[in-house]
Amino acid sequence: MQMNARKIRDKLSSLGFEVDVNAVVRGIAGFNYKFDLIVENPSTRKKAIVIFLDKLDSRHVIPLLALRYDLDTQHVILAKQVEADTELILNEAGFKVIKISCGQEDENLAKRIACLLR
Amino acid sequence: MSNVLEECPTGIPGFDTVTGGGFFRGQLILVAGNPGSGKTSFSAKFIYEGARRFGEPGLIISTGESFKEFLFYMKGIGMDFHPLVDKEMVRYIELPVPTSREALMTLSEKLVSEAIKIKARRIVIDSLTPLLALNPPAEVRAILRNALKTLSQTLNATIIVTIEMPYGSERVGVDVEEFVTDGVIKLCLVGREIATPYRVMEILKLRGRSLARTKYQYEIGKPYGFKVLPHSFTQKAVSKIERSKRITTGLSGLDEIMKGGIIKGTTTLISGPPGSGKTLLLLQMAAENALRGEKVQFISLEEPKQQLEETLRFLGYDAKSLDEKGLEIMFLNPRELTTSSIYNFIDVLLGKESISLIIIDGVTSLRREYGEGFLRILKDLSFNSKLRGVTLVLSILESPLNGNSSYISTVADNIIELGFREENNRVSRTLLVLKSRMNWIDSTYRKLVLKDGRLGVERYADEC
Repeated sequence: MQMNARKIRDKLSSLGFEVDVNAVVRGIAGFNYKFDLIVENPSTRKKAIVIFLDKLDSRHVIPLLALRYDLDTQHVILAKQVEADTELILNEAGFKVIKISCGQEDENLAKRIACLLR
Repeated sequence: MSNVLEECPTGIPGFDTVTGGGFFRGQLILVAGNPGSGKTSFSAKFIYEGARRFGEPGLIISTGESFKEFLFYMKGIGMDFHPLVDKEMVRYIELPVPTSREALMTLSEKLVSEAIKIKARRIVIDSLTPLLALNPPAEVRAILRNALKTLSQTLNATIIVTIEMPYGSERVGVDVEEFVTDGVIKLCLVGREIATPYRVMEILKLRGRSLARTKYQYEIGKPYGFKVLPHSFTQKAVSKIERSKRITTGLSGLDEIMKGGIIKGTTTLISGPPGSGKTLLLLQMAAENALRGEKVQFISLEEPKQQLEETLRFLGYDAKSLDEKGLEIMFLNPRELTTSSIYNFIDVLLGKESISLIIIDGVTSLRREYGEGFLRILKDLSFNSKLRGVTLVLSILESPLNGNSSYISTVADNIIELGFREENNRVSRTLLVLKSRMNWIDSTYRKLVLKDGRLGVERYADEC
């Protein structure tokens, strides 16, 4: 996943976004969270937190929903495997879930993230 | 899109009545309570009735009891979950007490996957305390407010989470839970120092419902499992008091003071120290009413039936013939009564169509068993009698003139106080009508006498 993160960071940077890898963010409650990527559009100041997972399933629902309350930012989850019900719940809660298909280029993933911040 | 929330009646006897319908779909409810206060029973009843009566699948996630223990305990209080589990209407998940923050992921996995699997409309997490203990308050707030609340709405289910409250603590949760949920219900065991502690439910918050009051008594046990005791003040109160109809006190002199007797459907307290003649007066009242064709229920909380029948004979009545005419005498041992059994008994009693007079002798003994809950029982009893038009007469030891007991007088429409007076080196028994609602009465002391084998009322010589 770290390879993905770096390549996506490079691509997003080349598109003019400000990108931090392994960035630490302080939540409303005062906790520090570490994320794979935080992307910001410098012109709109729109931000997205990007989380990479091998498999997104029901185990992640409560922790992610709790996290979202503490960080009122767009959350993007990139995962190789996505459980359909979990995706549905998270989408309804405002998460953006992107399934990484086999052979999908990091460039495409970066573009999809960029779209969210336009 | 409709802006009306879908109702979610709990099915818990009494609860939906006092709250005006129960919960709403998608709400997150916090049930806090002392150990043994009935959090599991309340939650289980919510799931049980949901599955049984409303056809709504339910999911229980327990961090405390094993499935086997749960089934056994719940069956013991009248809820047999076996058929519901067999039909997959109820799913029970044991979540071992977690020791790490990974617990949140485990809870998430169980809750989400199982809820989706059975299409749960009702979910219980019993209890959340071990999980909350692993997280700082702000994170707890996040878990409750966003995670569970979002889940309840996404799954279109109502979620109950239970939380432990140590004895002596007034705080409901860890810190903030009560502010971030749709409802907060506190369950307490009150009066652990008295013989029969009673349970009080406090609805601290329930979004979407305007509550007339917040405290209610409840009982756990067969056959209901969990039952909120009916509180009279929530009912549409249409009193059946009939001012033109009177019930004789059994003493013509007393009837005269009360302008013809006790107004039908009112509550009368006969107070007085031991030996002042309360039981004699009550028995005579019962007998005279039975002889006039009234159906009378005489309940003693102090003396057995046989002893009372002897006293009736002493007064010159034929107990057997009174029984045939409609006087039923009953002895109840207060030590064997639970609050629930008292209310059930009252319901049955007041439900008897023909009954017109209920006399309860020795009500003070209930106070010894129920502490301050005693007054609530009396008030409910009095209120329910009025709703049915049944005249109620109670005897107590406490004088309403005594500062500590003056609150008892609020229950009664009429108060007759018996006592003693010393005159010429002799002690006589006194009778004083202290209060008579809907009447203007002569409040002077009278002498209670036994004349020709019957009780009577006379004026004192110094008054004549």
